[in-house]
Amino acid sequence: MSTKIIVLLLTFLMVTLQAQSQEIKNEKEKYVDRNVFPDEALKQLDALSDAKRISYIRQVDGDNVSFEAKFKFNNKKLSVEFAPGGRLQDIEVLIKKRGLPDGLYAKFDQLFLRLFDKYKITRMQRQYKPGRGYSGVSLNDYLENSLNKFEINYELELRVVEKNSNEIGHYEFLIDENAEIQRKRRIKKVIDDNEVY
Amino acid sequence: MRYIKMRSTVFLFIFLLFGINELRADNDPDFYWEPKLSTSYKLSTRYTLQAGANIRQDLQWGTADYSGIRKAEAQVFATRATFTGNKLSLGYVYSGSNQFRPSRKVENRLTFQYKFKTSFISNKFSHRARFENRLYTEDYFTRLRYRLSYSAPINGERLDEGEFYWIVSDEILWNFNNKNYDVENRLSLGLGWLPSKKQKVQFALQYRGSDINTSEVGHAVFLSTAYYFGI
Repeated sequence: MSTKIIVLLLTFLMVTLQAQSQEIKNEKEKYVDRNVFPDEALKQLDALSDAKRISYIRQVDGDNVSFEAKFKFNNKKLSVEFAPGGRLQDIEVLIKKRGLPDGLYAKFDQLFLRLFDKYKITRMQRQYKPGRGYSGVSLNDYLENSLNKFEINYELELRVVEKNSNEIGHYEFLIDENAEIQRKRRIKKVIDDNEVY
Repeated sequence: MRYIKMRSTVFLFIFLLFGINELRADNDPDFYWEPKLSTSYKLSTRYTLQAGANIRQDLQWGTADYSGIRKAEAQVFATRATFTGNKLSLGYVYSGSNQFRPSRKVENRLTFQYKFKTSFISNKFSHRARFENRLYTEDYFTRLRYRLSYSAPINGERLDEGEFYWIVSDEILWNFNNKNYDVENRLSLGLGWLPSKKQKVQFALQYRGSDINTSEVGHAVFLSTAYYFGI
């Protein structure tokens, strides 16, 4: 009897610890002047001839600092992230459901319905990350359509109803082309309603 | 960044255009200060309780019209959030007293509220519709209110801790079982600060045009200050 209780308590403890150790997205963005950007990043951005309205952003994600340029290019909304030294980290393109390869949305649907009672994708981006084995991959490679040098993932933001609790939650998922989860982070919402009661 | 700033400037310009137009017709506005304290407690991700208190201080010292504290209000609201992010609330407001407003006496107000958001060219707009039952000792009024508001961080795409934001709103209020069926408009421009995820400080300048559908239009300018904290 007592062994059963200990096993039950340990199981409960493990589940609680697992829930507590869930990664939380802690990202802060701040607009900065162009001259704050690393030179190497600016060189890559200068190759864009018809990018409209480039926003220069300094991003802090936990302990990591990066520089992000957001702009519209060929009717697509792009955000390009650089390391502090100016090395390209990833390129994210805002897409809609119809921008996904055939069959992938159905896999996402299966995955999320397995995890949650209900979900809604609130933001979806295709992420191009320099592929392993390729060095010196730059923004220019993306612009020249050398996409084989990139690893493609999908970054999705979701509003969900948690399983069995009816609670509402917000998550960010990084999922590869086989619908395998690469990263899952809970998003902690700040007060989004600025009308004080 | 330039794009965001341009967008903000356009909204600000439209607001000022409205404001200047409204005040141009003004003859003698009243001036008030309305400090507010507001708090909320999240029961779950779906249910929230809010409470708040505010006073209305007359700023026309030394004039014959000076009335000191015109009004004091205390309110409690219970809110349920839907999966889509809309919010349905039921609220109770206790307002004024004989001491503050002898002509109106005490008001007990029951409020039904629905809030939702819409998007227009990547901008999010907040909408609030209210139905109010205003109960006085010898009177009863019903009022419909609709408020449209837009808010944007001053720096960055998303509002983070320690950052400032600006907010603009316009609200139409309609007393529909009053003798005159009077309509009021409230136009407001504010600046806010989010010192932490659970605190907010906000300053706003508000123009109120009352009885705007009658020949006796009243004008008032409010400076409102608010401190909000989450428990």
